[in-house]
Amino acid sequence: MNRLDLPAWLQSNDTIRLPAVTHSWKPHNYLEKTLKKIHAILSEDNRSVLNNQDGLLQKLEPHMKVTGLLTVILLAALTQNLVFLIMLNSIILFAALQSRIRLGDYFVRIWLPIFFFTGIAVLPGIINWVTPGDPLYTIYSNLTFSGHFFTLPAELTITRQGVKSALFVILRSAASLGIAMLLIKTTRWSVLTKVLAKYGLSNIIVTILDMTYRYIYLFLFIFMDYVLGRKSRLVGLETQSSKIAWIGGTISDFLRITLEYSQDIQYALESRGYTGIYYAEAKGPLHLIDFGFAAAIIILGCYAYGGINHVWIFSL
Amino acid sequence: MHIPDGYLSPSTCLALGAVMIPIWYRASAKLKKDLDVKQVPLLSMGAVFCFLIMMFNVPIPNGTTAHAIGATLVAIIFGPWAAVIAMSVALAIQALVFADGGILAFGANAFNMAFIAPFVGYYVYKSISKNAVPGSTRQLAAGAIAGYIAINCAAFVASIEFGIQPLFFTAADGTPLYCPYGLDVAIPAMMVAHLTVAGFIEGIVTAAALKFMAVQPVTMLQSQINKKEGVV
Repeated sequence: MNRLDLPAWLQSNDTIRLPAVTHSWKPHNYLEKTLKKIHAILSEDNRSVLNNQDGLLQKLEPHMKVTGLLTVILLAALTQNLVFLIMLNSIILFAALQSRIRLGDYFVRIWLPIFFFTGIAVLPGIINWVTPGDPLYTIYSNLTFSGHFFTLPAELTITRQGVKSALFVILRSAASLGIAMLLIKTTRWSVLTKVLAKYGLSNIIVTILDMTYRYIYLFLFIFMDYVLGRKSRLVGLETQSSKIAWIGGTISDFLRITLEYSQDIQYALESRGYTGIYYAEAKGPLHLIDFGFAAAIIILGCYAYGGINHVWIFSL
Repeated sequence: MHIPDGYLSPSTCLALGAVMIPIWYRASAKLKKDLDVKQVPLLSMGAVFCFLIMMFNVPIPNGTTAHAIGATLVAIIFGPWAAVIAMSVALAIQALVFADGGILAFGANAFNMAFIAPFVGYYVYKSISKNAVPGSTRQLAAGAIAGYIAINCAAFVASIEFGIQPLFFTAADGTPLYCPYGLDVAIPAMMVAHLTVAGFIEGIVTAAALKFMAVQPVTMLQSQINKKEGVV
C-alpha cells in the first residue's frame, strides 16, 4: 500500500509511551482501581451464609432480628460506657462466627477499614492541641518555636480524654459496621425490604429499593465489561484529557442505557398489571430463640446504662 | 463524604433525619402528588445511575484517584426533587449493603448529598446556563461550576455537623463523645480536600458527562421523559 494512502495516525512516527512495569500489589491505574472496586462488590458471595440454616442469626424471625439489631446500633451510639462498647464488639464477633461468617471476612470488612480510615482520621485527636486534658504521655515539653506564620505550642502530650474519644469513635464505628454486616449477610434483601414495608415504609419506596438493588448488580456487570473493554484496547499511556473523555462518555452511555431500561421495565410492569401494591408477609411464628434474642438486647441495654463504670480502662 | 456511624451523635442524626422527612415528602409530592407507579422504574434507574457515578475512579494529577458523587449531574438530568429520591435510595443501599456511610447517619448523609448538593448544583447550573445550547462552552462551564460549588457546599455542611459535636456532646471530664474535632479543625480539614481536589473532580465529571450527552440522543429521550412524567 502506498504510504500516502495510509491514514494520518498510521503515518505518524511518534513513539508510543508504554506504561512502566510495576511490581506493586496495589493498583495505580484508574481502570484497575475501578475494576477492583466492582470486583469487591461482585465477589461478595452471601449465599453460603444466607442458606446456612444452622447459623445463629439465620434462625431468628426477621422482624425480631431487624428490630433487635437496629436497637443495638442505637445503644452503641448512645452509650458513654467504653467497656460496654468493647463487650458489644466481642458479642458481634461471636454472633458473626456463630452465623457462619468467616473470621477473615469479618476482619477484612470491619476492622481493616476501621484501622485504615477511622483510626487514621481520629489519630490527631488524641493530642492536647485538639483534645486538651490529663496528660498520659508527654512527647515534648518546654519548647519554644516561633516561625513567621506558625508558633508551636510549648507542650505536646497525648491526653486521656483524647484517647478515650478516639476509642469511642472507633468502637462505635466498628459496632455499627459489624451489625450492618450481620444484618445483610444473614437476611435476604427481599425479606429485609418486606420488614421495612411492614414497619410503614411506603410500598412504592420499597419497590424502588428492591428494583435498585437488583439492577445495581446487572449494571455492575455491564460496567465491568466497559472497563475491561477499555483496558484491553489500551496500548500506550493515556493523556489526562482522554481519561476524562472516556469517563464522561461512559457516564453518558450509562444514562442512555438506564433510561432505556426504565422504559422497558415500565412497559413490562404495565403489561403484567402491576398496580404498585406490595405484599409484605405477616410476621413469622416466634420461637424460643427469638425471645432469648430479645432478652439479650434488653440485658445489653441495661448494662449500657447501669453497668460497671469503675473498670481499668476508665482509670487510664 | 459518606459519614459513618460513630462520628455524629444520635440526636444530630435524628435531627437531620427529621429535617429530611418533609423534604422526602415534598419530593414525592412534587413527583405527581404521590409517587406514581409509572415512575418506579425511572427513579430506580436514577438511583442505579447515582450509584454507578460514584463507582468511577477519576484519575487526578498526583497519580491517585478520587470519585464524584454525581449529585449535580443527576439534578440537571432528572430535576432536583427526583434527584433527592434517587440519591437517597442509592445512599440507603450503600449504607445497608456496602457499609458506605452509617445506618444511623443516613439522615445526615441524605441531607448533605441528596438535598444540599443537588439543589445547590441545580440552581447554580440554571442561573449560569440559562438558555445555553447543549454542548456549548457556557453550558459545560455551568455544569463544572455547579458541580464544584455543590460538592463544596455539601462538604461545608458536613464539616459543621462534625465540628459541632465537641461543642454539644462532651463527657463531664471533657472527653468528646463523638467526632473530637471542633469547627476550627473540621471546617479547614474538609474544605481543603474539597476545594482543591474533590470539587474539581465533581466539576470535571459533570461537564464531561454533559458534553457527551449533548451529542447523544439522550437529551431528547430525557426531555421526553421529563415532559411525560412531570419531572421538574
